[in-house]
Amino acid sequence: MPANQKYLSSPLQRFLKISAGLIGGYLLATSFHLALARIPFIGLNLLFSGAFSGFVCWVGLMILAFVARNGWWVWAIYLVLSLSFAAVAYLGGPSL
Amino acid sequence: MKGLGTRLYNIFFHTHTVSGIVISAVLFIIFFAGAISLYKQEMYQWENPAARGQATRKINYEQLIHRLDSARSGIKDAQEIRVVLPTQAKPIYTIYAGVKEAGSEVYVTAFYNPIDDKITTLEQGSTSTVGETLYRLHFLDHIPLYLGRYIAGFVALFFAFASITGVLIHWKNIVSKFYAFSFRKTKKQFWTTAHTVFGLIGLPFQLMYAITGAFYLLSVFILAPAVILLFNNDQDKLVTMFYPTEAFHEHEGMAAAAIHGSIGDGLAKIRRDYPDNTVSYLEIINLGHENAVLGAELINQKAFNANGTVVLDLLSGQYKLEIKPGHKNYAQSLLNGIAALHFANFGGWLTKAFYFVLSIFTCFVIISGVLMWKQARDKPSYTNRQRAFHHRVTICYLSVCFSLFPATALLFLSELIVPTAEGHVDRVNSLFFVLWLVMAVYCYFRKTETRITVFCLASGGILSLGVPLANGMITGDWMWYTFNRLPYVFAVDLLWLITGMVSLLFAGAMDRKKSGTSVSEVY
Repeated sequence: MPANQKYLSSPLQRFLKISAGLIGGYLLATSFHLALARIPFIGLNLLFSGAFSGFVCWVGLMILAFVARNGWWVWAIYLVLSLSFAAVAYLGGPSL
Repeated sequence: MKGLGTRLYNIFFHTHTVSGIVISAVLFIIFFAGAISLYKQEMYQWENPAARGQATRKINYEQLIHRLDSARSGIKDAQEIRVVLPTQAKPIYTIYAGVKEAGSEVYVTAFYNPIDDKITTLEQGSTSTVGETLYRLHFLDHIPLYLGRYIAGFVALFFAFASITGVLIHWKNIVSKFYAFSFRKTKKQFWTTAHTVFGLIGLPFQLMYAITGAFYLLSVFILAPAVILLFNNDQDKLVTMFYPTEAFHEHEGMAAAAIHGSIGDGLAKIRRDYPDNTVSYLEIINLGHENAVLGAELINQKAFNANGTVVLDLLSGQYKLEIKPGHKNYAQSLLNGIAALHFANFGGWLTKAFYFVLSIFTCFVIISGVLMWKQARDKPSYTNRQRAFHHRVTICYLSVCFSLFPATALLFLSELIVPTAEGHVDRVNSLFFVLWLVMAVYCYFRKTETRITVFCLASGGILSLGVPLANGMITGDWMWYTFNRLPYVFAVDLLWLITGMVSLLFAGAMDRKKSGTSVSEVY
């Protein structure tokens, strides 16, 4: 039995959630792993684990985007977190 | 309890359906072609009759490099040459060399067959292609501009998405559906339970492939930001952490020419020092100079990811780098581990057999998903136009997917039937793709799922039976001859023979059943 339409969101909301999951989710998953690299001793290994955990996170965030009722919020949260993690990665120390 | 709330259940149900239906046909092709290309190495002797035998003779690498240089000038002066050593399955040396040409470096691939002592370069066209064609098909590499790789990469990513949302929506019913699986149910119930049951059985396997597949095709998205932001654009630094032999690839200010120990002696020393391991490939760096080194990758085919790497100084005969098998650090074993999982190169033939079966299960999950998608929409709440559309999509998908089976059998056939002359590979590939297209179009006009399936099973079955026949007639290596002399060739013939007989049996059974009821009643 197909999904009940009344629970699905409007086209704009749907576009927002899909784009937030796909693009925002990518930015967040990647910047998160870049920030992990700044953790002393194990950081580099955590970064390299991104070879698989990066994709797991990306997909997880794509799914999570659909949980929210408002796609604007998803975009906002993903972007703010991405920028914070990117800042940690960029300003957190010398180049490796 | 629903597990998920009603709202989330419906949302995830919808995302699972949409993502699943969009990727289904491509995913089927990926898993079908991928399942067969797990055996790329093992099929090699079958597809290239000139390679049937064992690479027993000792070779002189310096002489080989000189001979390669006359086939493709510049190889002699290459600063980096990589030689993949022959195995029991594939008794061929594969040589990759970075050749300087008009200021830039061109990578040249050449093959040396020690059985007939012949050299071919990839530019002349390789001698055979079945394994390569299916391997490249499984990441859509035939689509130009690397576009196919990105498509396949995102299909892998959405496959992970579809698998996880699938678990979320079926969570509550997984156990009850698992025990409810039965062939005696109605069509719709059968496809629904089969989809859940086989999806569950294959879940870890499918998730592993979704993630490793995404890594292989989309790794640039994850690695490029790291290089730019963290490594100050120094890509080599990152690569050296993964592959320690890269550190010896420094060619700036070329060292003076020198006479050093031979590659063969170096390899013999490495083999003496590591008798329990196999050398999979060699890296010959700065040959003929003071800083000449020989890198070797030591593998253990039974263990999971227990490789080692050594770099031998050819001038002094001492190791410059020695990572004992199983002692690689995390970064050094990471990519090998992903490769071991993805290509099933651990644990021997039984692992590969499991992989193959699970891949075919996955194909079944994909098809059952498409069929239940259509079944669930085949009711009065949909307009006739919508229902016709659902039917057309289903027929289109099944035509493309199922006709891949006869087309693959034909690919094997044409490899041996098309004469080995220049342009052989192109001709075989054209035959394969054109015939696949023709069969898919023909299937589309057969209009019903049953008739498509029967046609593909029957035509595929007949062509499969032709595979060992063609091999016997063209090469003279009949099955009763190969079974104790050429085990790899025998195995390929035998598997096609069994496949052919089983598909014909199924086709016959389905055809008999169909003639009892009218087509519209069944679907």
